Amino acid sequence: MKHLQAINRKAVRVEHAVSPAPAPELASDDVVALQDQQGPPQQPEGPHIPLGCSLVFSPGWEVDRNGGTAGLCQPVERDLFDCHRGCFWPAHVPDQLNHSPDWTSKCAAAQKDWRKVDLIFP
Amino acid sequence: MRTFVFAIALLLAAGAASQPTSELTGGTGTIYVGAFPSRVLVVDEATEQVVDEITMTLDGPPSDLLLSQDRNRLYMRDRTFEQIEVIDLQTRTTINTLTLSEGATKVRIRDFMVSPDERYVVLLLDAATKEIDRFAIAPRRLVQLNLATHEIIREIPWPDGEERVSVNMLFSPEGDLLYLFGDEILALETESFDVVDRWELSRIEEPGLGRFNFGFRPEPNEAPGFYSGIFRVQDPVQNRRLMGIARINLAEREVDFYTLGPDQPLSSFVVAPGREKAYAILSRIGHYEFWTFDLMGRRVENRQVIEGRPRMGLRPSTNGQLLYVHQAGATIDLYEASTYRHLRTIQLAGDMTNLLVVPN
Repeated sequence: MKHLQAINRKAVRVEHAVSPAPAPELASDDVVALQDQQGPPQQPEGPHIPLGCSLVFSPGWEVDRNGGTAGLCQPVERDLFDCHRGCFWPAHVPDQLNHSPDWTSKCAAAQKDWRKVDLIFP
Repeated sequence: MRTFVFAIALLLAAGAASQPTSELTGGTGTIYVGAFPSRVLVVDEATEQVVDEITMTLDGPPSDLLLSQDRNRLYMRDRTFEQIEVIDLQTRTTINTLTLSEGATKVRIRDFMVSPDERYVVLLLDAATKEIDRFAIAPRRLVQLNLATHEIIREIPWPDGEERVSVNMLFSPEGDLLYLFGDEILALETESFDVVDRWELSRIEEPGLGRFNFGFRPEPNEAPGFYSGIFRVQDPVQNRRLMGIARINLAEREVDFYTLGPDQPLSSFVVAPGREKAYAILSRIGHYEFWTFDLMGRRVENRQVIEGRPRMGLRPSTNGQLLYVHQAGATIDLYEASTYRHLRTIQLAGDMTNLLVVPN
């Protein structure tokens, strides 16, 4: 049973984006096997990035561009301030631009003092 | 016996050639580091100690540190992107701050470039006015602002009427031209900011080469008006991407370039003092290398796997003996440039934003 129903245009676009693509019509050519696949068969599938993850992978926050964690900053706290400052993760850290200007005031070096970073509640 | 003596001699020579790590220093310059929460750390290159701390008057951290052409002032944006602060490096105090925000209108400075004579600054702005029921967003505009009076001298019309979301801009060394980089390079004279020249660098005249991609950025160890960096080009015959090194004289529109081989994920290309060598970092997930380029011999001199990390920035020391690895965090790692040995680490009191190495 489908519980969610799109009621505005943006929601309809999201539905179309996540719905599986319709199977391509088979041509009358004899090269049927290759036409069935999405490109060369030996190419590995790209990583599955779940919705909710950051969509910017430079190098990434939850996952890196390969879907793993080897490419993340090491330790990950190195990235906390720098990537936030460049607005890479606007939904993952407090809004220092408008609403939470002092959330890092007690912590200058994130790798050392991340425990002192303020918690922000909406 | 002769073999034994020869082996001893070799060992002694090797020991003499590799200096103790404590004797290798970066020179006698000064390293300025923009750092959290709102300061610029001053690091003496010879002792590798933080000798001073310049506190911003605005809310930091300092963003986009820019050194004036005479190396006497630092320009930076604040946390909100609404203000610019100017710090005098002789007195290490703030001498100027400016903003264009007023009342319900927030004007954010998306990019800026100071004229070589420091009389004015060119700003890329966008304004948002909070009205009773909505925000009114103004189109992005380029303005020339007087640094002394903080007044807008003029709004610079977008070339060809095409508004840009971002703009990479540089002044000529004398300040008579402002270059805007995009699909083509536009040269604007700085009296009335009219376009006086165009150069479609991407269509470099070389048979068999595709689009020429090159990013212009100031290189402290390059001659004024010259820009060196890695370029990438598509080889349509072999259907592959190639990379090489190009040195471009913007004023004369001269490009000296040579290919080095297949494209590699190299970043942080920097020219060493003396302009005979350059360095870069190859960065893949789980695999990092230092590369050394022999600019005189036009070849890759050395490359070696290192124990790196994601998001490394690179700068050579003022004497060229060391490489500083910075960015993302509160550490500056020191490596010997000739052997890539990791020597030691400078621990800072705050995560850094920008790093400038300035010779004295």
